[in-house]
Amino acid sequence: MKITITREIAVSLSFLLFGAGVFYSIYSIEVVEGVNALYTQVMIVPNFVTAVLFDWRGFDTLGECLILITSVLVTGMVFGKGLFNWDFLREVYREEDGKDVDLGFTPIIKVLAVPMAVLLMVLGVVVILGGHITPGGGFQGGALISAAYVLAMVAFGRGRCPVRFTHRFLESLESFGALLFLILGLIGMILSGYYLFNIREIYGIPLFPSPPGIGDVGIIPYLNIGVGLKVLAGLSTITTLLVSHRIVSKNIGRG
Amino acid sequence: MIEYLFLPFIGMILGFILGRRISIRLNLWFYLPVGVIVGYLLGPLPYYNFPLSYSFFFTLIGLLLGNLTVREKGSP
Amino acid sequence: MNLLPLIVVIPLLMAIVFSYIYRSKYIRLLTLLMALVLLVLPLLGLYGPYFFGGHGVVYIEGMPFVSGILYTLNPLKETLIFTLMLIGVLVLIISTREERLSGTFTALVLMGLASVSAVILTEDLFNLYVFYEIAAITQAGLVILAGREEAYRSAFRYLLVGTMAGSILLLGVGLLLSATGSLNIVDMGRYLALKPLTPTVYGALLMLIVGLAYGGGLPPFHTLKVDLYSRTKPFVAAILQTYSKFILIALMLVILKLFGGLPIFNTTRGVLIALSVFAMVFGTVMALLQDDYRRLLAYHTVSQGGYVALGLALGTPLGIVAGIFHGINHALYKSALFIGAHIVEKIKSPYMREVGGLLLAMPTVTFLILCAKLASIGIPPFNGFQSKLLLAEAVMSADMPELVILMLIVSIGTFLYMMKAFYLIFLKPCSEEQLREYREVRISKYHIFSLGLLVLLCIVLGLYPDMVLDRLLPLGEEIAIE
Repeated sequence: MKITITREIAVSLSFLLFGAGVFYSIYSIEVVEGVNALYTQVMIVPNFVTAVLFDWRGFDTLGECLILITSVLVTGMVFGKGLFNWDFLREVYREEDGKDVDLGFTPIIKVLAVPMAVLLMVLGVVVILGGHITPGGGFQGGALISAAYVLAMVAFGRGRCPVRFTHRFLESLESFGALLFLILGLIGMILSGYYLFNIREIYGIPLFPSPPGIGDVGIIPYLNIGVGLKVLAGLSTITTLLVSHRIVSKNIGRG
Repeated sequence: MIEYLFLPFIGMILGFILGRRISIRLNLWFYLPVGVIVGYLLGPLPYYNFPLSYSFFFTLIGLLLGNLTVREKGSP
Repeated sequence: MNLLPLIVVIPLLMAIVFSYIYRSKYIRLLTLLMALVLLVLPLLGLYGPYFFGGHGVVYIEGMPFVSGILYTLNPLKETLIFTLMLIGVLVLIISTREERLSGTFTALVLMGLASVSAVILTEDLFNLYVFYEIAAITQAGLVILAGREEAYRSAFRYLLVGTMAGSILLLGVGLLLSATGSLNIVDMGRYLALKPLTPTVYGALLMLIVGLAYGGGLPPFHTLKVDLYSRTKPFVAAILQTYSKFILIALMLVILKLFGGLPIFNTTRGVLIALSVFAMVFGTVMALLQDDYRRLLAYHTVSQGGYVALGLALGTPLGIVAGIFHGINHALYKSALFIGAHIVEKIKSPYMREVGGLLLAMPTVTFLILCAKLASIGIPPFNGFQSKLLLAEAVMSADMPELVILMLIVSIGTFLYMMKAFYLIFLKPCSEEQLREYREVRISKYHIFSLGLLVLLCIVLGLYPDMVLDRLLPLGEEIAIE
């Protein structure tokens, strides 16, 4: 008892000191413009955030996507994907419990969920595609689409969910999104010598035909699509894993 | 013309892929008017020069096409 | 054409492919092929800067700024990446002998190799943070792969603390960005040296040190790392400890480059030296108490991490070179030891008291493990001796003789527990029946080959340390603090 109290005091003191340090350093912040002057003056696409994310610092965005991919991979592993040893998971999932629980949602929810999910999906696609012009982009659009999936899943339960993203489909989408990003970078490297070079046109044909006056779009919409597919697949995969016993049973070699 | 229609075309493809995965039959006569209304409410998204978000509308058409023609029917 | 980004991109690409086809029948074959490709990767880059997306240096109000992301390759980084890839290759080769190997293991190892190479190569702080996070998640994933309850527990704990430490590191990067207006390490260092220091910079330094301690396994985060190493399969621990050692080196170099010329560096140096001394002492004392061979090795890793951090924290050319050299040597002999532990666990059990008399069952492996142990203690003619000698010289020339005494004591402690483990596992007499049991277990040629190659490298580096030192010395002088 005595030890734990001492430990708690020590922990709270160190948190207090650390927090005070963090707050003091944030309080006395003075932002230097630096390289941002360049980012805000040179127009690549109308959405400057997208320009920084996908053109100036495209490789960072690739890294962020890969964080998500790795997390999804590791989440899959927590639920038994490709483990060296399944005994622990077999013990946890001893009794098969694949029944759907109808939580008694009213017909209002069930009637509204499908149109809302459809409209959310379509909006998500538009947000992904317009990421270089209007606010939005791959991350946001992908999150919208997977929100549609989660909505349908919550309203109807896993068994009768009208939006059927199978696990294999999501895996394919995720791999395709990430590979699209990586391979577009490689194409830029072949054409110009720089990885993730924003290719404006190949032999005079613009890569993404778009109206005049919105800058050099280049490969940015495709990168947005890649990121969008990947985010959509990643978040949906995690949802599927959390609601479904079947995938775990399949992973651990049962059923 | 292609400059303005390329983006909705890509949207149609993506919508087609997603619509294929919706297992119930969507009612065309409900979704088309709703698509027009929502597209009007969205305004000029993403291109600035047209009062209606035709990208939204085209994507919805792609989704409905995918749903009505090659819908997946099996268990999840 | 400079193919430098391929060092990072090819493993990432293949990691995604492997995670997609993780159930394929040909995983073993593909893993072996991938291992061959990995060996070629360090040779692809050319020395010098590489600008991603073609965004080079721009001048804003007379100050040069790198507008995009910059990677550089120099002999130091090349040596580190070569060592990293070599150990990755050996681990992948060993993994093909595992039952139930799936593509996820290969994918995670590749992801980790790519992210750690990116952390080593990058000159951009945010890029470093991104790949640091990937490396952290990868390490947790590699532990979860073992599939035991304790592995799950330690991985979750590592990730929980990791979210906190990672966010703190990100906040530090953000504060530095706001204080200097750039993310490029060289630009930031130049700006910090010109302008008066603000509390923001101090806060950022503190946060970078927290990130360093988490990523490199220094106190107060060392117990998390020990749990990671000891609860996974030992041959996986070999690659895990290589990751964290190299992240430690990379982050230390970043701190030296950013804050080396500033007046606060003296205090920083004190903090870093204190952390590394704690790591050395804690690691040794705890290792003396262990019964589990894997845990003993894990604590040994922590104490050797202290040596690496000590050398780098000195900031003198000799200290930096000695620290990095010790990091490389440590990665080599420690991987050999972990592979040896894997063989021991395969034959009987990781608990030292349950094993005994393995010498008669497998004399070759015993000899190789003995060599690795001698290298880890620091006995000539192995590489551990060379780097510890260099470290002692560096510490002496930095006027801290008391640390040399401490290092000697820690070395003696290392000798004690290593020899205890060696006696208990290999020399202790055992019954005839047990011996028959040992002989029934077949040890794959791949294991012995990997072990032999690592020990051979230990001996070669011990006899000709100049092979590596010549490549490190010019850069050590460039980074060092006067």
